[in-house]
Amino acid sequence: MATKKRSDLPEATPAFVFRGTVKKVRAATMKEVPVSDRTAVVRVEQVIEAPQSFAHYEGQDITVGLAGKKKVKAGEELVFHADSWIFGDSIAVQAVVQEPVTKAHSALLKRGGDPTEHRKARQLQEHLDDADLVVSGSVAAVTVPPAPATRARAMAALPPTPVSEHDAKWRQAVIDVDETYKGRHTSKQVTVLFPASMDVRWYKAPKFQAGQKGLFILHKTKLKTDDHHELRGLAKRVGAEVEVFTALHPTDVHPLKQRSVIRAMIR
Amino acid sequence: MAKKTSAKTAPTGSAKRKTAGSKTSRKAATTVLVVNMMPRALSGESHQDSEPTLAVNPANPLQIAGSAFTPDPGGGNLAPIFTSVDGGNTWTLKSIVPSSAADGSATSDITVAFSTKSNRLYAGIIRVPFPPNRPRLNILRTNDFQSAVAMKVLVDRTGRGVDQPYVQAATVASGASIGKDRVYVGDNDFNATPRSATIDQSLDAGKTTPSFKSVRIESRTTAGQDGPPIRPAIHPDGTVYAIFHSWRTFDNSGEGTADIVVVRDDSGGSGTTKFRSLLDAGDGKAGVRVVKDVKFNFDGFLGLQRTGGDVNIAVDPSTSSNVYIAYNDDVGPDYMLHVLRSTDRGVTWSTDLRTIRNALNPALAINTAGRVGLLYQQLMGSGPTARWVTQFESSDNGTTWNPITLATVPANSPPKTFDPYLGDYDHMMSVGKDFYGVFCANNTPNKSNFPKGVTYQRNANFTSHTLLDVDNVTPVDVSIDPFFFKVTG
Repeated sequence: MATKKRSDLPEATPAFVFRGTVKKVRAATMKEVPVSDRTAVVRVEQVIEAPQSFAHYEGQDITVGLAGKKKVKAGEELVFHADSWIFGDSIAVQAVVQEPVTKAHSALLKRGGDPTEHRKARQLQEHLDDADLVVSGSVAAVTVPPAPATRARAMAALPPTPVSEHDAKWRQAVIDVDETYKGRHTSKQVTVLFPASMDVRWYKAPKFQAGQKGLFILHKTKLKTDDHHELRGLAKRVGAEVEVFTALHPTDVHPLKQRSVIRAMIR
Repeated sequence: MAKKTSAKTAPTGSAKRKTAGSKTSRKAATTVLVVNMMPRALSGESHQDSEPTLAVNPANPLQIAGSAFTPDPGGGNLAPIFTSVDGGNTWTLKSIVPSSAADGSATSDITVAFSTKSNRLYAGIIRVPFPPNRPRLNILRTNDFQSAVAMKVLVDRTGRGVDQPYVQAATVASGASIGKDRVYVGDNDFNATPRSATIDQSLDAGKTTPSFKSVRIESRTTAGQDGPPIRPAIHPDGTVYAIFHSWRTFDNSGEGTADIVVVRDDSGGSGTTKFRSLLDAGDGKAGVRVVKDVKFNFDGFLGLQRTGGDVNIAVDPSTSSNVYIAYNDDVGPDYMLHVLRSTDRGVTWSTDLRTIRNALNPALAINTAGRVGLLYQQLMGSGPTARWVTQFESSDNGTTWNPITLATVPANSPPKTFDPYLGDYDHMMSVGKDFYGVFCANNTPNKSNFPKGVTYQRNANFTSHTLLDVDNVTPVDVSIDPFFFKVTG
């Protein structure tokens, strides 16, 4: 299995998985692609898993930056696991892995369905696997985190909190728990910290509202309490790190009708 | 009928007009090129691609990079930049900027700049993820902006947080340091509060592992910190200027007052005392307070765009004595844009050369003929008929300005997805006599929205004013896109 690493970033599951036939090596579908021995024009025979921006390329030629050093030949059929590279009149993707089609792929190739839904399901599964607490319930209240009892003294002891357009504007949602699907929580209520900010950094995070019902995928997060004055009331002492539940990802909140789906995915 | 383009390089009506105060008529006809930068393969996208910057490679102006809040369409660990290799006529989107798939495959701020002769592209970004309220600065470099390899991380800093990095770069043209890239990143470094205005500089950014030094350019007591925009401007003779929003007061309502401060370093930050070449005649401290106690509201809005105090600066490439600045303040209910000039290296300043009501995102550039260009976005009208008008003006003397309307689009459509709606800045620069810039706007394919013409790469029907998906049939929602422009000098 040939692999290619483009950076020192943490590995992410490649976005675009497809079966393709190599049409021409050392070629590209766009003039903007720097052609080399490691670029090829590949016909996408079957999209297996993809974001929306790749989903419609079945039956079309695209450019692939080949992984590793192993030679490929025109006519060869391979399964590609690839990430974005260049979008122009056509697209070029950078293969992280390319492998010959074998019997091991038969289940993957026969499963059918919508490739974008497959990707969403895989991402949700990874997200659930990573969660610390999954509950259903309703939001009893949304408040600004409480100030510490010795707020005035605490504030004086800390440097002023810098003001930035990227401020999270923390709020806390108190959830009355109906059912726990994953993790342990002894109380019938759980408090979740979320950013109310609509800044580019935070706008995708769920914005809780009182009365809201749903399934909540929660994550334990350590926050330094001098990050924001709104957090200082959550700490036992000024400057401490506090562990709280957060819901920062767009898929951290689901409607109750997803209950059976979520329950089945918990492992 | 799908029509992708209404492209024109349109002569401006004022091109041959003799400018008051100018001794010569401008002989060459000015042409204007406006291009929607979204590639055809992304015809189906409807993201809010706001807050653009642009970098033209001075060594090869056919090579241009652009940035915006555009996420990687594949949802990977690298965020994209826009690239052109034909002078901005066509664009691709290329994912080479460190990011995080789990955090949206984008950045929370990004600016780009080529050095003048080395072909290296630098970027200043707020990289995700970052701990709450502690924006994470990355300074990046690629030696080949067409490469598939991710940009190299030169600086990675969090601490108490660093905001709004704004990168500029130049290659030293003569002397002992000839050929070295000097990179200056203006940023609001909360690690240095209460004097947070900072220039992170490297005097040899092209070497394998360059060192960067944080130069604190605020010399006065602040209201806890400075404002986010710190903008450097580099002259080929080694002079570097910077402008920033020096906060005097600030209260919990978001309102405050600031001084507009300009600092200068005559040796590009290579001496022992950095950015202290310009002393204020009033208090003797480094940095001239060009205007004092201007009002701002950090929680303010003009239409759907947040405000809070814009600044920009440009230095004349033919003489580092000539400097133009622009800034915003709150004047009654208006968000007022001001333009001023110094002809003595920032020591003294003119009164307002231009004041423009309810205009923001000022960007200045001066070409090799000494002509100054001003880019801004003005909210015209109110209510449902309000429009964002993106205007380019130029002047030989700072008195008479030739306006060119680049875009006039509905101000309330599309609805806002996040802040900032258009961007906390846009960008413009000059190479030779030409002005190159970028702005963000509603992308409805309507010729009347672009009086000087426009080219779309993405599928669009200019008759029905409809964006179309990659199948050239399915309608796509209107969104905010980056638009490149070039005005020939």
